[in-house]
Amino acid sequence: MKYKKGRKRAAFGLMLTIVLTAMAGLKVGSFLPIVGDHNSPANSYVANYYIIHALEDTNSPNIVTAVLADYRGFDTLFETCVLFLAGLVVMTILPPQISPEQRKRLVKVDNHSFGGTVLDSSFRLVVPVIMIYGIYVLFHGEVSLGGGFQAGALLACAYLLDRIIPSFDNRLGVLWEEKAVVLAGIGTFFYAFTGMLPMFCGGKFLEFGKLPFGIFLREGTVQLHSAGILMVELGVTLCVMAIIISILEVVLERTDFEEWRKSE
Amino acid sequence: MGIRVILAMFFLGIGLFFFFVTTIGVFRMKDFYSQLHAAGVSETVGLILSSVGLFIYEGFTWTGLKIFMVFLAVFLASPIGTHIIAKAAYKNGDPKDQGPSREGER
Amino acid sequence: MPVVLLEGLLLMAMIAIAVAIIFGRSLLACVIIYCGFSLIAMLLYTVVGAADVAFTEAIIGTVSTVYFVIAIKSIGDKKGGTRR
Repeated sequence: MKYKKGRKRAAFGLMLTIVLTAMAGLKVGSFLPIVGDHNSPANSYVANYYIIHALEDTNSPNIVTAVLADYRGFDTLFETCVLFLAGLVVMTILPPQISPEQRKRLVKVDNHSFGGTVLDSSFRLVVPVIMIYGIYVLFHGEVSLGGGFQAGALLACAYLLDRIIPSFDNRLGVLWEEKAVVLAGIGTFFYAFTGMLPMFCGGKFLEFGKLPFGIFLREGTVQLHSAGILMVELGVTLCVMAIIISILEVVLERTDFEEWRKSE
Repeated sequence: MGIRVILAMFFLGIGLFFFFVTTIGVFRMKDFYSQLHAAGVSETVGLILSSVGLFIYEGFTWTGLKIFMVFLAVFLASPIGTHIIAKAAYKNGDPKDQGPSREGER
Repeated sequence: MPVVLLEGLLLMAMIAIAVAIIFGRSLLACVIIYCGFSLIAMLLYTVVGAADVAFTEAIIGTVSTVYFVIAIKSIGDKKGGTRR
C-alpha cells in the first residue's frame, strides 16, 4: 500500500514539474522571435549570405552540409571530439572484464540463433544493403541528404544486426571494445589532420581552398572544397561508427543470456 | 481534379480504412496472438493499397519508382518482425499452460 | 493553415505520448513508447522542412531503442528497481 501511494505521489510530482517547466518556458520563450521568421536577426544577415553564396563558395548544392562541414567546420570538429570523449568515459566507467589473453581461450558456448530460419536467412540479405546505403550516404552528403553522422550510424546499425542476431557469443574478433575506441580516435585525428594540411601550404586552419591536391584540379580551386568536405565527413563517420559499436560491446558483455540458452 | 487524382484518392481511402481496422482490432482483441494477427493487416494490405494510390498519383517518374522501392523494403521486412514477436512471445510462455517454459519440456 | 493544423496535431500527440511514458507499467513498455515519441519527433522535423535532421532522428531512434532494451535485460524490468 505504501508503495502504491509513493508511486502516485511521484507521478503527481512529475506532472507538476512538467507543467511548471512548460509555463516557465512559454513565458521566457515569448521574448524570442517566431520560428522561421524572415526578419529575425539570425535569418536576415548570416543565413542570407549562406543561402546566396553556398554553391559558389563550397561547390556543394546541399546547404546543410556546406554550413556544417565548411562554414562551421570548427564546431563540427569539437562535436566529434565530444563524441570521442563520451566513448572514452564509457570505457572508464565500464571497463572490459576479460583480459585479451583470456579472450583467445574463449570457447563458443552456443550456436543457436534466436529467430530460426526466417531471421537467419533474411538478415544476411539486409546487412549488405544497409552497408552500401551507409557508404552512399557518406559520399553523397554534398548533393542529397546525408553526411557523416548518418553514415556512421547506418554502418553501426549493420554491425549491430550482425552482432546480436546470431548467437550472443559471436564476436567479430576485430573490433574488441578498446580497439573500437582507437578507431574513433583515428577518425577524430583524421578530421584535425585535414584541418592542419592547409597550414603546411600557406593557408589557415580548415581553409579548404589551399589543400595541396592542386594537380587534380580541372576548374579552379572551388573543387578543393569538395575534397575537404569528403575527408572531414569520413573522419566523422569513423568516429561515430566506432563509438556506437564500442558502447554496444560494453553493454553486451555485462548482460546475462543464461535463460535464453536454457530455453533453446 | 482528373481521373488520376480520383483514383489515387480511392485507393488511399481504402488503405486508410484498413489502417483503421488494424487499430480497432488491436484494441478489441483479448489474446496477444489475435492482436498480432490484427496488426499484420496494416503492414501488408494497408501498405499495398496506400502504395498503389501514391504510385498512381505520381505516375511513372523517378518519384514513383522510389515509392515502389520503399514499398518493397517495408513489405519484405515487416512480416519478419511480426514472426519474431510471435516467436518471442511463445518462448516467454505467453499462453500460460503451453510453451517451452513449462517444467520438463523442450 | 493546413500545415499549422498538422503541426498542432503532432505536438498534441507528443504531449500525450510523454504522459503515457510517465504512467507506463514497466520499463520495457516505457522504452517502446519512447520509440513512438522518436517517431513523432521525426514527423515534426519533416513537416517543418528539416530533412537531414529527420533522417538522423529515424536512425538514432531505432539504434537507441535497441540499446535500451539490451540494458533493461541486465537491470530488470520493474519500474523502481528490484531492491525493495
